[in-house]
Amino acid sequence: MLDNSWPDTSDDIDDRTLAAAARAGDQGAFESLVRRHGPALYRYARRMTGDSDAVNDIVQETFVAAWRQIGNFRAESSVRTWLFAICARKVVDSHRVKKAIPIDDRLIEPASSDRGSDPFAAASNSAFLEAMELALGELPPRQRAVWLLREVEQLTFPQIAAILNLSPDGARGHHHRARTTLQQRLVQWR
Amino acid sequence: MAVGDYDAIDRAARVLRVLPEPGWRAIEDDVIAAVRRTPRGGWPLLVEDPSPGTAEGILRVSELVLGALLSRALADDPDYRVTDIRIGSEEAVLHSISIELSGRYLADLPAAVERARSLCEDVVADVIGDIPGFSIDVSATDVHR
Repeated sequence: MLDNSWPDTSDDIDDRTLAAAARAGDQGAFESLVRRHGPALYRYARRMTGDSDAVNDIVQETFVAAWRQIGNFRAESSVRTWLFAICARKVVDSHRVKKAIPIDDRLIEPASSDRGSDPFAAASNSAFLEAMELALGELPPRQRAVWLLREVEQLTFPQIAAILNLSPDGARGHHHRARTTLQQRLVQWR
Repeated sequence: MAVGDYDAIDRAARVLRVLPEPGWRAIEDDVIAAVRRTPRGGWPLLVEDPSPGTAEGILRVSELVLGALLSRALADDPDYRVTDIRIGSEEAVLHSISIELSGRYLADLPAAVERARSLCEDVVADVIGDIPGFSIDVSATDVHR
């Protein structure tokens, strides 16, 4: 058994180096990739999926599939984009995508009626984020996926397009609609 | 919030990005364990019998084991990073190893390539034994800072 001694969180070992080692057979290098990208894949799957058991399954299956397939990974895309593409397919295949859920407007009303208040101030901070999560859940899955990948994961539109099997312009369109909807739903928080 | 004013949403995205994911922490070890249980197929490589004639049978090692040991051996040199390792075999006999490196900017790359080649030879001698006629090709194909 190999000593899995790649530094888990070392920022100076880049993904490409770890992927090359993992491709050659080094499971420890792959485990470093798991630890590095696990949180991002988990937060994407959590917001895209209806229940926590499904999230756990999707994330685990994503990494198991990636380990099986890494021999074919040739760095045409980044490791991060490649992992998100596998994860996005697992989300769809799970048939447990969180559908767009219409919500009562009252649920995303601000706790304070003071229009000038900063939504991130004091107690309203967590309430605003809760409202944001509700509004995200209200978006159609594809719009939600594009918005999350763009705004939370900071991927480019071509990368998002590759992950979700869209054109870059299609990804831009979904993003624009998602952004507009979120703005409308959260207008009270201004 | 005026039309086109996305400040609050942008700030929310930044917050969502850094929120901890306790759910991930809860399953991280299980995910790693699942990966460890998942086998990957690799070609077998014949190993030189360290004590010929003392026992029947042949020894083989997976190319993935050799690849993992090569990657570990090459991981510590500050002048290069390994970007690809390929192992070629024919009828279970190792015949080639190809290593691609990204060299550190301004490093002495020919010397780094030679160090990498020498380490490869040591690993192969350790794992496979003394086999004639195989080639090691090490090249620096990229540069990084």
